[in-house]
Amino acid sequence: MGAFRHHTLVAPDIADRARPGQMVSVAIGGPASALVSRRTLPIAAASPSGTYGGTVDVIVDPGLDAGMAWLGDLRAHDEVAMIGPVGRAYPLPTSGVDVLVVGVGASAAPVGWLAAHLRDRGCRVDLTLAGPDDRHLVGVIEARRIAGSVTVLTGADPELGADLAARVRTQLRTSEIAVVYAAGRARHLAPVVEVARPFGVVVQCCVDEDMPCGTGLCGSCEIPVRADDGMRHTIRGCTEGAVLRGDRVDWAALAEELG
Amino acid sequence: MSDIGTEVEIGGLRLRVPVIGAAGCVAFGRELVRLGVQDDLGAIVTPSLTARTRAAAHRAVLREAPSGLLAPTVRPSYGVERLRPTALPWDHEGVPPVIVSLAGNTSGDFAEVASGLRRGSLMRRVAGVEIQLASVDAKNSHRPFAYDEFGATKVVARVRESVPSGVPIFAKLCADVTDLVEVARGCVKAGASALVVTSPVRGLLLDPATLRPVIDPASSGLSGPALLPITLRAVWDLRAAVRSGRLPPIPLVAVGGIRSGQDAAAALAAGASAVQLGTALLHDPDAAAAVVAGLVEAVRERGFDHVLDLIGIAHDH
Repeated sequence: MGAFRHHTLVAPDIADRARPGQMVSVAIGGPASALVSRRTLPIAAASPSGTYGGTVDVIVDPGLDAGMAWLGDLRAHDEVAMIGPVGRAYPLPTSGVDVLVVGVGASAAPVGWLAAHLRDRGCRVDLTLAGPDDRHLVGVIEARRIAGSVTVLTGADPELGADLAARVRTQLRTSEIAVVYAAGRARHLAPVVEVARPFGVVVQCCVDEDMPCGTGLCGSCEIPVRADDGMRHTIRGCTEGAVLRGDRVDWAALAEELG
Repeated sequence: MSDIGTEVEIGGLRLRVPVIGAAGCVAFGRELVRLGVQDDLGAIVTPSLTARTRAAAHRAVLREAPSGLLAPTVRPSYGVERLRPTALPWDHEGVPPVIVSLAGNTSGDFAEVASGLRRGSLMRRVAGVEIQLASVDAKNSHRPFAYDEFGATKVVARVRESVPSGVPIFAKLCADVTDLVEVARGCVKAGASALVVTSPVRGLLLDPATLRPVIDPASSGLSGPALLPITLRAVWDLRAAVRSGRLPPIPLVAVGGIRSGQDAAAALAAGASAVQLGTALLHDPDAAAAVVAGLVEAVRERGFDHVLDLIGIAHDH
């Protein structure tokens, strides 16, 4: 699919428990691999009962680095070492409300699956997919089957984040959106959270940044957040995220740390 | 593995298996429990504690290097003053002995952390302390303490004063120094119970786009499989120094690049009494079980019945 590869992996235990917003942590190469950190990928879909047992789908961007290129080159019947589901899922509304779902690049992997869950709960779903170009968009055709309206935005950084934010602002102004669900890199999520703030609308963000172990052991995916009492502390993106309330994240500090 | 003995004793600390989770790679142990792999480790080392919580300007971003990881050696750390006993894994069933890692920028800092542990009555449960001598000395142009005998000695001596005599002290050294044996001798004289080699070695990676360092070069260290020969050499040199009388007898712990049973067997043969796993656990949290199984197999293949029989055999002609 475009620049990305879509893999379906047989993993019954993960498929049984996975929900949108959760991830899998995948080891790159075998035990003697020269690529020693893992890759943590959002789950694009999970089917507990498939022909070969439960499966999970992931979207791989092989252009990202050597590890992702290795993952992208996997063929049918290849095996990978995988841990999951990792992290916190998107909280779903208890009643049918209007929601806006936003996803950027390969990070948008879970949005189609999420939109289907939201629709099943009676939500009216508007979906916006963004990416640098047409080849770096996830699931536009499937999205049209699920969502009430689908918007596609393409453009290069750093304008893409601003364009996306402008689009979100327009939608918040013109409709009764109760929650925004977003999936992307921190640089794309921060402007979306910023424009939603004056509307008092919560943005549930799946922060898709590097997570070298995906198990909580390395502590290298820490995200600065503010708790209810205003105290700043850090949480691990992989095990305690990756879905976080956007208004709790200290985006400026995170951007500085990501460099 | 039943017929092969795996228990070792290091500075009075008994380990069920000679495999330890390295500082910064097993968090505080809770994740190991959740992953169900805590039984495969003989002990774990916590992330470094400092006298006060140090929120470093930059988070500990890891960068992949060929067969290794480059990471800042100065990392955000947990201050002993904010450490609650509940943050530690001791409430969980079956958690292996906990070795607390200490860091600081003056020898007084280290003593303060050790005293803080005592004050918080955390020391009761501490199986040992590991001193991060790769920490930089604020009073000596920010050179790591481990770079010379004087720096290492003063820290170990201060910690020894602050830690009850029954608690073993592991001094974690850097292999990339001029005379490792001299630094090691200072640590032993100052009261170290065991030596751990090696901390990450100095390394540098440049961003291919900007041609600027990806991590502040003042504190970026390489860890991972690329280090294995350096680790083995450091252990070898220390063991040889003990044999020749340059260094008093002291147990050695190998850390750096060990990821298989064969690697662990090699480290023991070079002279280590135990190994630590770091990067290997990030790549595969199940690695400890495989390392122990591989080590036991290596013992069996040689007709031995205990891992102790492997220690130092590489030096025998």
